[in-house]
Amino acid sequence: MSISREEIVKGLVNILGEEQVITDEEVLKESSNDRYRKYEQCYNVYTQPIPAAVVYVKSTEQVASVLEFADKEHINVVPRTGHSAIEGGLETALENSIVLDGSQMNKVIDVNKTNMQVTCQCGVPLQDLEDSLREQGLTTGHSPQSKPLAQMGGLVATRSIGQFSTLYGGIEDMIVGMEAVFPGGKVCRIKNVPRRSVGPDIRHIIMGNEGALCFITEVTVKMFKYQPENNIFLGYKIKDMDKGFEALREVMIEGYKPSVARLYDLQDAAMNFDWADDQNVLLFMAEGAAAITKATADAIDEIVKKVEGVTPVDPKLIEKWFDHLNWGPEQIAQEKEEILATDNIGITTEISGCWDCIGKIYASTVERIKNEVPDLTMIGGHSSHSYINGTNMYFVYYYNVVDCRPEDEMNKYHNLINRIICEEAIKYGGSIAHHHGLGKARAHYVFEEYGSSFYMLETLKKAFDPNGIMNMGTLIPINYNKENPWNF
Amino acid sequence: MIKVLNSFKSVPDLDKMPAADWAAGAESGQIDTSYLKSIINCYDESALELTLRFNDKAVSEGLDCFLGAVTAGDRIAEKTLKTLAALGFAGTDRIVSGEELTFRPELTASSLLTYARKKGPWDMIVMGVQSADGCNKKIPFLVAEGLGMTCISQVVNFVPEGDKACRVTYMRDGARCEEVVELPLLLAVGDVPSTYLRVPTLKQRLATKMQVIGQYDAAAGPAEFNESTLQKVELIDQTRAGALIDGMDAAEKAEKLYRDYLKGVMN
Repeated sequence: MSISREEIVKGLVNILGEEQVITDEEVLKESSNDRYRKYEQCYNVYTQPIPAAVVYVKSTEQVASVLEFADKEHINVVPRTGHSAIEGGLETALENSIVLDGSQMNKVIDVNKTNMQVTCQCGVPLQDLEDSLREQGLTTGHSPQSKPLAQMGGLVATRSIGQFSTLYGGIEDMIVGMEAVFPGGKVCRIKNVPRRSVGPDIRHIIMGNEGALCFITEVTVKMFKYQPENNIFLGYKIKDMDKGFEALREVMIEGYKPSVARLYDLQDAAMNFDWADDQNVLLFMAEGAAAITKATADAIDEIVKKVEGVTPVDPKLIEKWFDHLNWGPEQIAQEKEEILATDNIGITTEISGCWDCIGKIYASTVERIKNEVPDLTMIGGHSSHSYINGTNMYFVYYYNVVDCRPEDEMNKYHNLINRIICEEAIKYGGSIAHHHGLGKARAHYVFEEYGSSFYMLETLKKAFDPNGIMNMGTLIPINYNKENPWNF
Repeated sequence: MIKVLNSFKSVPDLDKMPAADWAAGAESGQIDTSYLKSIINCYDESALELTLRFNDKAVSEGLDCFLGAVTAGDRIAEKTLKTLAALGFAGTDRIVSGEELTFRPELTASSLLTYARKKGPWDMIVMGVQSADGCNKKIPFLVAEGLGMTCISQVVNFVPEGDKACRVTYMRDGARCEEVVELPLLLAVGDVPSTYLRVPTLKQRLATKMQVIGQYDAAAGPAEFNESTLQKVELIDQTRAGALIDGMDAAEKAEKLYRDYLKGVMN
């Protein structure tokens, strides 16, 4: 039995002092969810248990003290940094949770230009870090759409990926070492080396843990030379979506590494590009050293032009479009205004699959959503991260919320669409989440996703969090309704 | 039946224009907007949504409406016409012109006027008070003059008052005014914050998939108004002089500021 709400706050104040322990009602409400429930957020409706406190930590020692206290008293802790999560990972699913916020741990500790790696505290905003590095002719190569909001700890915790991933990789390819605090207050550091062969790569226990195993306090990521003057953009209209997948695959298996390789279906293309003319759109960006960039762009152009039904477009259209891809506070405010005015809401869900199934996942998912979801105004998607063996699919969907209270929107629409997407991904052998994380929303499908390897995830959870205090409900659902898993 | 015609324009989304491109445009004298995505002119978008609300109200009161939509833009505007068809606009036409219409309000108004006469008569014509790129504010007045219609500008709402009149709310000198006006009427919709065009469902789109987007040749009508001709372009001199005031301390500097710069211009 956990202690009372008042005792939790008192205990936290004893550790951190009053200034770092926030109990303001509005802050607590806003901290009870994330953008998975953006429709509820628009209407200031809060359906999740309101946390006991939001605490702003300033050092690893403070994180350790809070986790020691929480573990001893069996209090649920929800770690966060930039508050940009979109899969319910930041929902406080249990009564009297503590939201452990690392956004004030925002120092860049070391920019090591010899070893080309930068070490930061968890609360360093990626946008600030990237802007500062670019001024020095460097880049992390990490540029997710959430860059204006996301911070380094959260980016590692969710196994994030950026728009230039085809060249630089996901965060798992960038991370060098890190520091994390486990329940009970145990601090673990993984040193910075180029590679190691010393048993399992334990960085992968921390990466993607989504706050369900530990709190990430410090990360070291690689740096690269920033040479935007060499960037080359390519764009094409393509009549057939399957041929688009084929073009992406050809580029990948021929060994070329554009930083961006995207394929938009015609619905998503129509929303993004006036010039799409009811066709799908393929676009690429090559970057890096001048000679490599030119060779990459020339080869991609040659490969793509051989694919049936392709028409090249002015590269400037692609270059200019890229300038406005990221989402910051302004876009979120604008989106809220539009949702309130129209009750039309847009959401994305991403999955991945190998080349032999991604087309099937895409086609069957779109068909099912069209047939099964009411009040749909758009369903489409794009592939934005490709690999030698497959690619992702980023489903984009909009619907009108009709005859429905804000608190009922989730089960009437959003969870229904998510379920279809996950079922089709599983059915054809793909993964239900490519880079947003499982959060609490897709945790309900974790058993089907992991299959027999769920044993390993469950064992990790039991070993590192035996008292069940770390972000309960994330990765592994708390109350799993086998008959009706998507009503929660 | 109340016949309502909406005129709208697709404009480049200037919010998406990088600062560097504005600066380059200022130097060259040519702002390139060709690569920007088009959106519905914000005043026209408000006008369209207010028209749909007018229609909702009319239907709820047992009145029949016919909604028509017309644009004098390029082919990209047909996307919006298809959306409007799905939302209940039974007439969807595009005026095709070989001429560049931006910054030529008289020519645009002539085209609209001829179209309105051909497809009319209309009980109401509704449009935005101005476009985001042309900004001339002349078109609604020219069309109303040509058709001999009462014109009200800076409209923020309108609802049916039976099938012969309309209750119009509009802004005048910062005040909100409301009056019942007999039809026919041209309404120029002004700034109506947070008014976004509703979004049709895929089923609504499918149901109107076969609706034809009509094309109307602008050259078919006569020029109704003489175009203004640009006589001269002159840069406005906005340079200002600056001076540093020396002094031992703040009091001495303030004294000099008063004596040398302010005294002569203060009452």
